[in-house]
Parts: sequence; C-alpha cells; structure tokens
Amino acid sequence: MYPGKEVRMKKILMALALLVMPAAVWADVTIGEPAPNFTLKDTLGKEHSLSSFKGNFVVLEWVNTDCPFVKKHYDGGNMQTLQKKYTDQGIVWLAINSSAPGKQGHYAPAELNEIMKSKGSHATAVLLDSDGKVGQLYGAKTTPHMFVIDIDGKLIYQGAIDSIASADPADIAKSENYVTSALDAAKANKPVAMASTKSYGCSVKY
Amino acid sequence: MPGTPLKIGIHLVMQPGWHVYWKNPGDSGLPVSIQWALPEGFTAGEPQWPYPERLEVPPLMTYIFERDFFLPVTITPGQNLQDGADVPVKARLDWLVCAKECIPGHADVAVTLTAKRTPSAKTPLWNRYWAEIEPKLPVERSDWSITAHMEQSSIVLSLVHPARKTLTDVYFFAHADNVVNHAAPQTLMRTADGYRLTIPRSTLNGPADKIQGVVTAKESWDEAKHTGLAIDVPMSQQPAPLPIGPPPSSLSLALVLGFAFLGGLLLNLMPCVLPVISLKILNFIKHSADDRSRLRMHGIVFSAGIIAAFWVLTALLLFLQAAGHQVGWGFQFQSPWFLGFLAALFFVFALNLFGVFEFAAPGIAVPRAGGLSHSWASVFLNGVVATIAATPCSGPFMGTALGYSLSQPPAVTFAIFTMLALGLCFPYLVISMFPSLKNALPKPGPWMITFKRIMGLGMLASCLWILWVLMVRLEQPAHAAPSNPQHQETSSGIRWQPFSTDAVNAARKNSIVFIDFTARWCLSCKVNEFVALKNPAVVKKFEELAVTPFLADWTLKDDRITQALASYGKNSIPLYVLYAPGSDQPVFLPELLTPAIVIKALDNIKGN
Repeated sequence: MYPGKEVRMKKILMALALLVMPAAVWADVTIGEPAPNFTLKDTLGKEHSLSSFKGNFVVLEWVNTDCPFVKKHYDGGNMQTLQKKYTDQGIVWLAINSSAPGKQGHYAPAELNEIMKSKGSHATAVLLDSDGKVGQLYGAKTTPHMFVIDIDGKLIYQGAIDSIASADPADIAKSENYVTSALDAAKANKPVAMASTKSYGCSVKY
Repeated sequence: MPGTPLKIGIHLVMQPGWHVYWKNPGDSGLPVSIQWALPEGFTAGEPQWPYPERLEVPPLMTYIFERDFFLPVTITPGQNLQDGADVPVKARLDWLVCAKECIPGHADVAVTLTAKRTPSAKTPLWNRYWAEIEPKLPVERSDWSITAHMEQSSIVLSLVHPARKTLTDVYFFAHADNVVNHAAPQTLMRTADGYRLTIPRSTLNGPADKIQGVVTAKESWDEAKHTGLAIDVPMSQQPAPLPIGPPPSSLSLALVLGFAFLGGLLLNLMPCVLPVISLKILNFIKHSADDRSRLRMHGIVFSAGIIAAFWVLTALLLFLQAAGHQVGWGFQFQSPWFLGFLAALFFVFALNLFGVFEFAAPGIAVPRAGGLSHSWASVFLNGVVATIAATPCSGPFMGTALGYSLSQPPAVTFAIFTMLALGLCFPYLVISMFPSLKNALPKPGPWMITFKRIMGLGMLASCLWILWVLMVRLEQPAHAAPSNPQHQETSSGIRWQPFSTDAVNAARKNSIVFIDFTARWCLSCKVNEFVALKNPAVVKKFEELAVTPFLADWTLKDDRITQALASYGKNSIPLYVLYAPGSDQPVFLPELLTPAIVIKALDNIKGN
C-alpha cells in the first residue's frame, strides 16, 4: 500500500469511529438481572459508583424539578418523606438528572444542589447525567422513573413511582407506592408482586 | 330522543407547538380523559379516537395531536324521558398539554340538552370538526385478513388481501401502552399474499392473548379514504409461519430485468440447453460462408421462436395461477404427456448428435449438406423446441427474476420472461448478426464429430433422466399427499426429513435448519446434490453442527411446497434455505452450489 492510501484509510476509519462513538447505547434493563454499573458525579463534585453500594438496597429516582409530575411528588413532600424514611434505614437513594444542556430541568451542579436542598431532598446524592448515558443505559423514559436494586445488585423493580398516573397530588394518598411495595417485599424475602410497570411523567429531556 | 344515542364531542384547541396525547400516549405523557356526570339512565360509550401523529424525540416516541383535537363520544339516553325535558350533561376533562415542558390541565364542562321527539340536525360546527377527524377514524374491514403472532422479541402482524393490494408507510398504533416498544422501528415485508409487519415488543408484560390497535398506511383501506384500520385479533403464541418475502423496495424492476437477461444467458450453459444451442452454432460455423442477410434472418427467426415459446409458457402459467392453481415454473412437469414428449425429443436430439441418422423433423436442426434450412417455419420451430428443452433447467439469476414476478402484474411478468428469452437467444443472435465473429470460433474440423458425440451423450443422459421422472410420475397419482422423499439417502449421506412448515418451525427453535427445495426433473438441483450435498465434507459438517435437514420434494404437484416457495418470494427451484437456531431470518444459498459454499454458509450461521 502506498503511504497516501494508508493515510486515507486511517482518516476514513477515524471518521467512522467518530460517527459511532457519541451514540449512547439504549438498553432496557431486565428484572432479576444485575443492574448495570455506572459512575456519575454528584452536585458537589464527588463521584459515586453503583458497585460501591453492594450490600445495600439502592433506589434510583430520575428527576426533573421543572416537570409537573415531579412537582406532584415534591410539592407536598411525598418524595422527600420517602427519601428520608429509607435513607434512615441505610438504603441508598440516588436522584439522577439526565436533562441535556439547554433542555428543561438542566442546571449547573451548584444550582441544582441549591434547588434540591431548598426542596428538602433527603437523597443520598443528586447525580448529574447530562449526556444521558446512564439514563439510556437504564432505559429511563420519564421523570419520575424509579428503579429499585437489592443488596446483591439485582434489579427488583422498574417503572412508575405509584399506581395512579396523573399530575394531581390528591391521587398520591389513594395510590399504591410501588417503591414502598418493592422494598417491603424484598426486605421480607418475598417476591416483588409488581416488578415492572409503565412509568408515567414528562419525557426525560435527553 | 329517548333511547336514541347521540354524540357529544370534546374539542381542544392548542397553541402552535403544543400537543395532547392519544389513548396510548406512548413513552410519556397522559391521555386526554373524560369523566361523565350524566342523568339517571344515561350511559356514555367509548370515545371515538382518531389515530394520532407520531412525535419522535429520540430515544422516545409519543403519540400526539397538535393544533386541534376532537373526540366524539356516543351517549345513550335513558328510556324515561319527557318530551321537552332538560337534560344536564356534565363532564370533567383531564389532559396533559406539552411543548418543551408539560402543563397538566383540566376543565369542567356542562351543557344542557333538550329531549325532543324528532332528532335535530347536526350543527355546522359539528360537521366541520367531524369532517376534520373522519379520515383518521379507524375502520373495520373484512377483505383484509389479519393474524397476530407473538414471538420472543417481536409481534408479527400478517396482513393478507386476495387482490394483493399495495401498502406503503405502514405503522401500527397499539391501544395498550405496555405491549409495543414505541420508539423501535417497525419493519414491513412483502409476502406472496400480502404483508408482514414486525413490531418489537415492549419489555413490560402487556396482554398476550390479543392485540388491539390501528394499522395505518399511506394508502386508504376503503373508497371513503380512511387510512386507519382497526385491529382486534387474538394473538397466537406460536411463531409466525415461514412467509418472509423479499423486501418491497430492494429490487428495482430494472435490476430484475437485468437478472432475467443474465439468467437467460447463463441458461445456455445448462445441461439441457448447451447441446441444443451448440448444435445450432456448429451448424452455423459450417455455413458461415452463406450470405449475410440470410444468416441474420436465421438468427432473428430462431430468436422469435424462443421468445414466442416463452410467451406461451408465461401465459399458461399466469392463466393457471389466476384459476387458483398453485403452480410455479416447471409446472409442465406434472404432466406425463409432456414428460413423454420431452423424453422423445431428447432422444431424437441424441440420435442426431451421434449421427445415427439424420432424422429431419419440424424443429430439429439437422446439419445439412446444402446450407442452412430453407424453411423459416422450421427455423422458428427450432427456437420453440430449444425453449421446451430448456425448461428442466433453471440457472442462477433466473430464480430471483422468476420469484420477483410472483408479486407483479402480468405485464411485468411478461417483460421479465421476455428478457429471459432474449438472454437465451442472445449468443446465437450475436453470431448471426456479426458473422465475422466466426473467426473467433474454432474452424470446422473433425473435432466437431467428437464434440457432437459428447453432446449426444449428454442429451441421452437427460433423456434417461426424463424417463425416470416419467416412471415415478406414473407410479403416483397427481396431488400426492405428504411429500415423500423417495430418494432416502443411504447411511453415508445426509438424513433428510420430509418438509412441512410446522416441522421446520419447530426445528428452527433450537437447531440449524437447512431446506432443500428440489424435484426429480430439476437437473440443476440434481447437479447441486451430486456436487455439493453428497460431498463427504459437507455431510460431515451437517452432522458436526447437528443441522436438521429438510427435503421439499416438488416433483409432484404439492401445493404446500408451492406455497412455501412463494412465501420466500420464489416460484422455481433449486432453492436452498438456511436458518440459524431461534432466528426468523432465512439465509439463501446461491442456485449453483459447491461444497465450499455450503460449508462456509453453515460456519457463518453457527458463528452468529
């Protein structure tokens, strides 16, 4: 091969690689399978890896504070109460923001930290996923979208936060909270009855 | 009016850029919902949803309405109504309207209706809104036959129509939100009798016993221009039957015509044709000194004979198909008369080639001492006879071209067969047009006699072949039931199983499946079997990979095999189909096999 051809080949390969690289991979997680590992920075700049939480239950909560469905659970304190209740028991609660820059719900780390604090969030950490990689890895479609992982790192619940898909806070009291049900069942070593439901909310702003 | 249903419509108007959601909103959002507060005895029916638009914001897909949204609902009044009584109707509407952000909304609406003996006319406003949504209201049709199968990762909808109507831009909107992967593309494939839409499933566990929704297409389903077809069918848990035809847009007509021409050209090299054509060419070499115009005329008339014969065969084929018979190329081999005639023909050719006697019969080319045939009719018949002799053989490209013709109107089929005919007569035409080419050909000499003898042997072998087919055909009545692989291989060969769609579907769940579509009268098939499928290395590979081999014997008129061929988009043989375990995608092998091709294909399948 002449040097000219080689260089051209390299350029073509590089171009192809660039085309492929930025594309995040959309997956759909499976109940009963190990939850995919990830590492994200929180609003204070500290890194967290899912694998470091093995031995604890982990709840993942996809959040966008501007979305009316997230507001449904935050304005009345429902989400914060859940967060406090479970983190007090040693369960890890990670709130994940996958809004892309320029899209609704995206804030700079310090600002998001302030917002969550002002709402009284008791999440263990608020993680930033602005390139959407982890959201797409888990197949997170809405805010809120909840995932519960057991102490062995297996996914035991994914889907809606509760059973009534609406933006009306009055429906919270009437509905079954699927996260509570999943954690209660898992802690009693029982199978989770509603392990996979259709999540409701605003679309994640990838 | 008491007891007579009326319709009440809800109308929402949105600012540009904002949308509300369908009954299945898709990956996010909430549908528009109505809660009625009706007087005693009144009932509200299901709303009549027009089908929605798709809003794709990768990786998500939602089903929406923009600008205007109109939803009619049928209300059935109670029986005890006084004439002139006031009927208060209240409803609470809930919706989610989104642009970049979402705003949940609701409204309490009320209207007071008056009970009357006579129905009132529809208001112009109603007519206007109704007219806007009417084309998108799903309709039910009985001419399309829809079946649904649930497979491991997708739902397959088969859409069958007797007149093979065309559909493009097909999309299925599911009513339930946990059945279908909304964002994943749906693939449409043409089959012999309609279409097959493959829809990736949702990871959620939706209802598995039936499927409800709307199939939309660019074409309308009825004369009233409705573009949405209402579907409510049970879903089978069995995988969809084999039918997988060639994708509609992948083959352009030009390409297929090119294939047909090439196919015809290559047909010249097939064992049925080569002796006949070479005999003609030999004859030609001998008389190339004759005057040019005569030679050219010879070529043209011969070609005309070939083309005419092809046209007659095509017409017969189309006629039989239209009459409902399951026939494919080679259908004439079902008839013992034809087989007998062909055997006699080949025998006569062989005798001529051996020089046993110069039996001059209409159509048989006999090298004469005194120049080329004088009778144009005889030359024409030459062409016809050459075509008839060509029919047992089907070469590469021919199969694709013939299969394509299955799904086309008769005019296209004729065009394809004409190209095939042109390909077949091309070499002879060229030589007759440019006699100077003779200089490229070997000079006449004693070699011609040896050559003729070899060709004669070939013809004789073909003749014996046809006789064997004839014997088998006479032993069994037509329409013999399950295809019987009469030539059960010896223990040293591949252990073939009789072909059936069910058996193949069962087997391909967990093993590699190989299907050999063949027939006794198919010379190319037999050559392939001899060269490739009986090769010890290939047999060993079959055993090594635990391949389940199926033999689809088309010698007799087996309708199910004709249908199976059609489902692959073919109507001629040979055809070799490979499936990887658990796969829906058939892999086709070429029409000319070598051991290397088969082994490589098997290795590739195993690797995937």
